[in-house]
Amino acid sequence: MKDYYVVSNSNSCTSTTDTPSTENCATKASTDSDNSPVAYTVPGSVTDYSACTLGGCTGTAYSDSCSGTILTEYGASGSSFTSSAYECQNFESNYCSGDRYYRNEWACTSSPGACTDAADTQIGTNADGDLKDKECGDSLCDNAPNVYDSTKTATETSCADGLDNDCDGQVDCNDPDCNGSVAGTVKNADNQSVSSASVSAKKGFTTVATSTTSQQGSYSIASLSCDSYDLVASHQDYAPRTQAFSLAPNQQLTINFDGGNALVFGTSCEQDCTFAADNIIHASCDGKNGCAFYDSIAKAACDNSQPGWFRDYNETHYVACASGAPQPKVEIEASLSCESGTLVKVTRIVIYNGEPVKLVVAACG
Amino acid sequence: MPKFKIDEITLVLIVALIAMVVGVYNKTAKLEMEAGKIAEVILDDHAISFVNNGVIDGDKLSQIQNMDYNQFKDYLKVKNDFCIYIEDGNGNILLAKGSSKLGRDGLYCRE
Repeated sequence: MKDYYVVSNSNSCTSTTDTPSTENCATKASTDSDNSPVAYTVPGSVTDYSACTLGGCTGTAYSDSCSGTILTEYGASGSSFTSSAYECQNFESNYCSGDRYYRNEWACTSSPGACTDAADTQIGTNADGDLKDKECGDSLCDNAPNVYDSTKTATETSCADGLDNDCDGQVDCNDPDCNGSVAGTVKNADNQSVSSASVSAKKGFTTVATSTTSQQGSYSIASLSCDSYDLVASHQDYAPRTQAFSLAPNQQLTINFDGGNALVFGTSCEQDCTFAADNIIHASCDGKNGCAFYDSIAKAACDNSQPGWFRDYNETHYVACASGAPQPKVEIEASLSCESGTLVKVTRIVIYNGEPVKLVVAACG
Repeated sequence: MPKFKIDEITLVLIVALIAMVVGVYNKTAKLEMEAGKIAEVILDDHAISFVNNGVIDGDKLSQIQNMDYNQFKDYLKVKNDFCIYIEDGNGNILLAKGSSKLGRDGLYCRE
């Protein structure tokens, strides 16, 4: 029988056999019952030797342990040991089986602990209740809660039930099947049809759809989702006119811009005498929305120019369009001198304030 | 012999005249190149260009007007003094920017 005795004041253990041997327990290699610091699926424990008893070297045991799904895995490392945390859910994966979609669940169990395969969970989408999950290739109605293959319709039959009746991924008014239309005519205050007017359905500042009136002043926005909008009729010669409306599912709505909603001529002019839709000064804007020319001469001179441009008012004065008063022309003939000798000029024709001018570069040397 | 001396003097004068003409011509050519370079920078797509597609940008022109002449000259990398001005169809000077050394008779090249 093999036995040991302890050398006093040391960690050495010496066997008492016929051929005694001595080992130092402090430096003795630790052991790991699962033989690996990464054997996450095998329960095990590490013994870290440190002292000698009559039975030989003894030490502290560290068992793999669980905390929720986290495994603390111990491993031997020379005369010491290592420990690391591992998430057992890393072993999880999803799979299809029999048209159903599952998650292969993993847990941390037992003591000593280890990652173990647990009961799988069905996680597939089977909104249509046909026992075939979307994740496993069933595309029919699986995106439409409470709509089933048996109740699916070819088009969105109800536009207010909160269901995607035709399983096309679009519910109620978001489905083009529920779209309606709006049409009508645009007339001015004299009851004359206004052609080439723009009629836009807007939500806030966003234009959803636009139509242009015909020679007869009629417009039509053929497809518009059921919702509330502002319908804006505009034309460069008229003030824009807005009518709010709500379009019910599949409604064919008629909205006319006439009578009290007719377009009123001229007031689309801005304060700088341009139309809202362009940056051209129009003589016809005189007196509208704050547009004021200095007088009829300035109005004629500035017509079709742009704000800030200079135009000849008469032989001796010019006017800054559109509202500026006539200013005397400064008659200065270009004359240059070059004290050091040679003067050279290079000239290019460019546009300044709407008129061709000479841009001259003179160099002196 | 005297006749030969006159010819020699004439020859020297002719050579001097040619040299002077060539010198003036070279100087003029260099100045033309420099003025052309300034014009191209102003008209080209450049940080200090104030002409875009042949149209003067009033805001940029104003910035140039307010720029120090020497700073403007450094930007253009030219050696000689210059003056840039805008002249309308009637010969009126609308704006001028450059060295005051070039101004005269009411054309004030603002530095």
